[in-house]
Amino acid sequence: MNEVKQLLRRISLFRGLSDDQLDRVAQITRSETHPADAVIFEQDETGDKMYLVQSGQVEIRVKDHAGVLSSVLIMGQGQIFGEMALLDHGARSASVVSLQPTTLNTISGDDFKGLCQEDTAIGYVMMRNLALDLSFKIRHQNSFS
Amino acid sequence: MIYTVSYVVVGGRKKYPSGMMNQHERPVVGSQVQLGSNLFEITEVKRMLPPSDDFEFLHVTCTPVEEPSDDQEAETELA
Repeated sequence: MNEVKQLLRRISLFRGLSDDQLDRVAQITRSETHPADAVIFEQDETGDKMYLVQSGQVEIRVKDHAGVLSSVLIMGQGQIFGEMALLDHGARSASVVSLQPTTLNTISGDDFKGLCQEDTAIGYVMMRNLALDLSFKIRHQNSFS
Repeated sequence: MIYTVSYVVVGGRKKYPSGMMNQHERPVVGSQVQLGSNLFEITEVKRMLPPSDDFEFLHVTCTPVEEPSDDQEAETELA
């Protein structure tokens, strides 16, 4: 549990949470490991969990309308992905593949919503941080224009 | 401090994907970063957002570090 808490402290999504609050988040976090070149999920699939990169790197790949697949982003330690489906229940907007042996932590949508409803203080902080994370990603995207 | 860093490769969006990662070391101009199988040299570091709690949000631009080809190595040796 302490190892998971140490990871959570390094992820901006959980900044501002107290030690006890991090304990509660750690309780709904699951770990999974993937070898290199493993498909984490595919674009257009339905998704019900978000992922936190504990170690390794993953590649975000997007297929355009012509079916051409492009690598658009590499995410490393401390980054989160898959959170959009958690919020809007839409299909996955990209495919994600591990580039090297990778350890991910996951939080399911049901567990996330359950925790936010049970403890609205945690819910407020995490929703605020999720908005800030999306803002960071939009600013990153805007840097190309 | 934890640095949440957005990496963008200059002029290389189609050839090289960009990157995002959290790290304990602040990136500095002239140092190198590995994104996937490619190595890049950092050319600029800018603050993207004001620091919040223990996090600082940075935008980094970088250029690919070209591996010397066999021909280039031979030319270098001859020179």
